[in-house]
Amino acid sequence: MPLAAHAPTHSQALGIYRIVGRNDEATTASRYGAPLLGALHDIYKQSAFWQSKLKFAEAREHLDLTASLNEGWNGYGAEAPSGLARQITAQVLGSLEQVLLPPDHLRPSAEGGIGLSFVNRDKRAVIEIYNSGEVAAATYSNEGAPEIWELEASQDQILDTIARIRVYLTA
Amino acid sequence: MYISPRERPERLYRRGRGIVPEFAGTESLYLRYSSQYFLQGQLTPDAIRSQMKQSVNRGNFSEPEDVLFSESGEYDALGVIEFKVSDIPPRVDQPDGPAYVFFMTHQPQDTNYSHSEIWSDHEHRTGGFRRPSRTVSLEFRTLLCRSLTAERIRIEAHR
Repeated sequence: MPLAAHAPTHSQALGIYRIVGRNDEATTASRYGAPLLGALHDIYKQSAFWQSKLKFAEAREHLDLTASLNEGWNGYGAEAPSGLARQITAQVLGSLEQVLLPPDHLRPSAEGGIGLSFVNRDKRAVIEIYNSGEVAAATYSNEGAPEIWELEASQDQILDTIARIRVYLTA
Repeated sequence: MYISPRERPERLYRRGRGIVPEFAGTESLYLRYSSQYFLQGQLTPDAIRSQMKQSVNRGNFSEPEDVLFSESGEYDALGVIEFKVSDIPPRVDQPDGPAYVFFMTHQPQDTNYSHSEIWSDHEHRTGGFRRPSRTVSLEFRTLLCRSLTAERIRIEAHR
């Protein structure tokens, strides 16, 4: 009976190695831990990509938290966000992540639903997803009339709204 | 961090006092808020509502901290923001529907005489509350939030 053997696979390198100091085997990795951690922290802080990922992680954490809210959660009788609102919000977050436009915060809305807010200097935008599944968005600043529109929770319309918000915030 | 007294202030009891329908533009209104709804110095529109009537306390009959009063401490560590009646956008138009007007109504309760609500109605007054459309509501709230800035905080929220 032939012996079964896995064919060798050649995957991409999993790491980049370099010699640190004299490679003294008596020196533990902890010596290099602190500077390495500091360097990684600097890279993380300066990276728009990682900062964006952090904001998406925070938004998803807040989205999960909305599932545990009860009616009247804000002391003013607000409805708890519905499953439908959470589902559409997750879809909107996915679309935002595709284009790396993270919300600055995600909160349950006093109107009944979930709100995503964006800010860049004096320009702001919001997408509100209501418990009924309706969605509305706004761009506004401290001057002039806000722009308000409704949209359907379709991928096309969500992407159009995201593009419109991006243009407004960065103009 | 503000901790509510467990005994209701005497000024909050109605004690047979009547409705005072007039609101001067300069009268203060007090709204409870959470720090989670402040984003770069301004309250976000999802912190307030207008499709349902938004409650506030009117300044003529209460102090800012009365918004946080709770015998059980339910609102401890939340904050209070003040705005004026004149900060309320009086009217919001929409292209395909009636314009809405927004105004204050005094809705005293037995244990909170200052309790008031922001109401909306069609431009040609029906005399009651008319729920605004989604877009009108969002526009109203974005406009009002322009006035709900860090400078208007009377008691800072810690949660």
